[in-house]
Amino acid sequence: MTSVALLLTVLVPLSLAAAFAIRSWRPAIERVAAAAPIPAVWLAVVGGESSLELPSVLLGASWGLDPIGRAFLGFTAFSWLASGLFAQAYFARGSSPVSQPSGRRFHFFFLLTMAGNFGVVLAEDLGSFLLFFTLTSFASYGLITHDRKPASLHAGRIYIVMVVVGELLIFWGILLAAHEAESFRLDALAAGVAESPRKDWIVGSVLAGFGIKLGVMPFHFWLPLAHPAAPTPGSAVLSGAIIKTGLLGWLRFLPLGTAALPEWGMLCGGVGLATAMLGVLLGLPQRHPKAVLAYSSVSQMGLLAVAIGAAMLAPAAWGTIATVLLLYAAHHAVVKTALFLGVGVAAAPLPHVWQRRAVQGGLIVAAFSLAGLPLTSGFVAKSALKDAVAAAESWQGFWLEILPLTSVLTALLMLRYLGLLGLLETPRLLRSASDESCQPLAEDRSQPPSRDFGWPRTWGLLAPWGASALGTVLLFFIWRSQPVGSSKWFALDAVHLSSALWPILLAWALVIGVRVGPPVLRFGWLRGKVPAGDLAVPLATLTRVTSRAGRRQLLAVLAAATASGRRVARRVWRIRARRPWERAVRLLESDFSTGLALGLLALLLLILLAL
Amino acid sequence: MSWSMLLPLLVVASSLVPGCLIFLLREDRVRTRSVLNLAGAVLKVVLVAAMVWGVSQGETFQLSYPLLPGISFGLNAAPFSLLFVTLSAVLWLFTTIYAMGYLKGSPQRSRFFGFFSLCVSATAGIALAANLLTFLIFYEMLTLTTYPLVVHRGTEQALRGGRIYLAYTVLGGAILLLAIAWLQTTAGTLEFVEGGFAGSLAAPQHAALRWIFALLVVGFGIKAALVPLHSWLPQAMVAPAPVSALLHAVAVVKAGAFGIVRVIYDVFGVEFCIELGVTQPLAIAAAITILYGSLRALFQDNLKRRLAFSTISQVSYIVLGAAVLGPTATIGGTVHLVHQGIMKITLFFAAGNLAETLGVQKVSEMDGVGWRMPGTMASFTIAALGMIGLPPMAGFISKWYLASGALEAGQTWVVGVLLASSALNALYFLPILYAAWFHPPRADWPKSADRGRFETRLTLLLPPMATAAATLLAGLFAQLPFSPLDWARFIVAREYPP
Repeated sequence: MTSVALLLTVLVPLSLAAAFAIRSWRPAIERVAAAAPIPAVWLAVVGGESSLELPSVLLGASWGLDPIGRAFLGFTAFSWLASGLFAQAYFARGSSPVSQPSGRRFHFFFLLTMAGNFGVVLAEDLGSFLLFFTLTSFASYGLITHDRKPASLHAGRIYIVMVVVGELLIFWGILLAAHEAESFRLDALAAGVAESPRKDWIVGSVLAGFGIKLGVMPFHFWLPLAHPAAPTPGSAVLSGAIIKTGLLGWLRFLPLGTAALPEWGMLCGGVGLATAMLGVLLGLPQRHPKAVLAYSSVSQMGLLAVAIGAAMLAPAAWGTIATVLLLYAAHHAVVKTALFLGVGVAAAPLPHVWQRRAVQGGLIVAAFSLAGLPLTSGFVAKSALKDAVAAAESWQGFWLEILPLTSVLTALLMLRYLGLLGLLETPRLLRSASDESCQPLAEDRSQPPSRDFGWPRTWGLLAPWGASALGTVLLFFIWRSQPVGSSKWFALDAVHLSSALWPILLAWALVIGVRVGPPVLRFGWLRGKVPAGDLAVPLATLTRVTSRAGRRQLLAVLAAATASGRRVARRVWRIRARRPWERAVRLLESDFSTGLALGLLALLLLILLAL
Repeated sequence: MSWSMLLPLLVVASSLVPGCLIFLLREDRVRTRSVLNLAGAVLKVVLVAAMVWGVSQGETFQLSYPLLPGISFGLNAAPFSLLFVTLSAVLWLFTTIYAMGYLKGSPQRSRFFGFFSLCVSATAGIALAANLLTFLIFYEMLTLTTYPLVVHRGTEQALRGGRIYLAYTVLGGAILLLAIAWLQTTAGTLEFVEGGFAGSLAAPQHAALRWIFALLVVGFGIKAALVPLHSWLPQAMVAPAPVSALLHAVAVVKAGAFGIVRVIYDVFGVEFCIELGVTQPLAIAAAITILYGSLRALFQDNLKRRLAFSTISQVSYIVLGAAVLGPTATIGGTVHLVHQGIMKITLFFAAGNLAETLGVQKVSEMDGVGWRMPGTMASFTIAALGMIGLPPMAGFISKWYLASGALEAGQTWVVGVLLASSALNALYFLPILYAAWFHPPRADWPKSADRGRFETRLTLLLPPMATAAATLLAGLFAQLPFSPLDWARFIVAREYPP
């Protein structure tokens, strides 16, 4: 039974995608596409350890479900299911710019990518892993360039270049690993790699190759371009599910737990920490909520790299760290799905005010879950991550102290996201976003409430989003009831609570301080100055510098940069019109979300005191 | 005469006889000609299948006629010969169907199909040749029978391409004749033996053997388009699409590569090649060819020219696989003989469809062509992704075996060459796919032929779809018995006795 489910998990989305070849079937397939992850969900919930040998396929294939695979399948299937259901309502708009053929095209690539994504999780041999990893990577191109706009095509171009570079690195790494291990089975690889004299080559190329997929710096630049370019449900799976295949690659091919790799561990940890910090700093000036979320993904994946680094330093603690990684990945998948779908939900012309309030509340909880809000999955993930880092002896001082800083930064980034969606102030909610350049995707531009927005579509959007937003809270209780990992991670005592809450409160205070304080603190001049995909821009320019026109362009950019530098200096000294305390009072009056958040925190404390 | 002697002869004759009969036919006897063509092609496939079955059961198929003392005309269905003859027989069937659709209504079809059949007979002869002399006879026959096909259109450009082709290949044949005569006087035999026969010669003759090896490689290298002997191939792309398919995938280029592999394995022998130190230079030449071909392909706007440079690069994978020395790399090279054939023939079929149906010949004219001809371009996409080496296409299997074979032989640099080539392949194939599928379709195509119910004539559409399916299946089910990979393993197991 489970072996049939293994096959169906991959073959159902794959054959649905293939059936797109028949023109007259397309509308029907589009309607059932959302049901394609059902075998995967069933397998993740019910299926125990199982395996399926397909000796005649590729290099001799074997698919199965081990504990790591099961965890991955769980959150991956969830993300695909929620996004697939969301897409049904998202693409069903009658007169909106999202037309029918566009929905068809989306669903074709959606199903194809889904098949690849599930396949990667189930693969237990090299051939299948490479096959499905490649399928996922190439099929996602169709999601990214979905609307065929110049910006999306540009994002797609940079994405596909990075995919090919990644494929080459991975091919090289895996080839060496298979040669050293003399086996095509994934479970035999780690042992072979650990004893290989060419260990460093393998570890290096696997880290870099899958690091591209994860968006670890300096390979992150494709991600903030690509993820926002896709339509909302596509962005949700890209950030929620697909980038985790990079993590899966690390888990499958690195000799974690069998060999100590101190140099690689330090490198991985250092790069991860830098990614976690810089990802936020580059994300803050973004003007598109999805770009902010993409940078947040970069930053969160950096934290995963830190945990991987810890595992390389302390192989003995691998058991714990593996659990930490899985918890963190699942948490991030659920929350990122909620946040990306939230971009679409917040923009939809929902007919009732209570629905908008619910969206606002849900998104705030989900956003702060990423920063470790208590009673959410983020709380568990953050405390678990601390344990993972502490496992590396050399990291116990400085690293443990700097970790909460990433939570502060994440909270800041999430406030930026909520601000861009207009969820931090009440009045903004009721009018459409004025700055069009903020939200280049027509379908995600917020629209005034409309009674014509019928209930099927309202709930079609709200239900999958709500499930993922609630998911972060539910995960906390599910994990606690299961006992997953250490009970310390769930401890709701004063010490843990305060250590989880202060980063969020500090970030909030910072934001209010910035709003009240002198305008230079708001870094308004910086907004929009960091283009999404930061490094990709100079890289693309670099190729143009060789031409004469390119050189002229470069000079113009330099001149503009000097001019804007002078403008900034002038602005620092400009005197403000309104007094700070007036602003503070206005802010407290108008800022619905501040009130909501304070209320939530008060409620939380009451619950905890009662427990 | 027993079956085991008759069968190889019948395989050669199954296209030779229809070929000769076709020459006698009047131009308007379309049906008779089609029947003859198809009957010959199907019969050949059946006969080959019978031989494959027989050999897998341990039977031998060979015959030999003495010509002069020590020199004989012989055919022998060795496993490696069967791989090549199967490839050419099956692809010939598809190419015949395709050519019948492609040349519908064009003049001089009797001449075309006559030479077309002779050409395949020559290829079958090359594949089954039991010794170098037989090989040479059929090799020259191939040269002479392909020339009329290359210049079939009779245009100025075609005649020029044909002249260059003839100049190169005749020179190659002459060099080969010299080398073979020298080898005959040195070794006293020309019979292919698994493991080679030259190794038994005494040390003083080794210098001469090195020269002979070099001459043989140059002679075969001209047809295999090894750089710097490759210039004829891009010129020959003026030929009609089915002929290009024949040149690139079924017969000519393959015959050269096949010859080099036979020289290494069945004339000199692996161990003796290492002793002579001749394989490393060959591997380097193949590596240069791979990179050079890919680099040149990047800058071609004419689709068939781009594909021609891609062939130059891909065929050298076969040579590289043989030159790297080691069972796994040899499996990779051998299986690539088949895989490159089915992938490249798909690409040329698709390119021919575009030119014939829409008048599209340049990459820059291909915007949105995928939506106008979905079946053709889907086939093209599968084959192109296979060329890059992406799983589950056949090219992945070749690349995997070549690369792991190189590691096994301790020649890590070869993996670098393969990776660089893959990157270049991606660079020149992905923009085509991008333009075809992701650009808005153009409103007006240079030409619009009658197409019937489908995107183009069925005889043009089905062959590429079939070979694309084969590309997919050969990779996906590589481990099934009688798959190209399985057969390559069977061959290599005999070349590298445990």
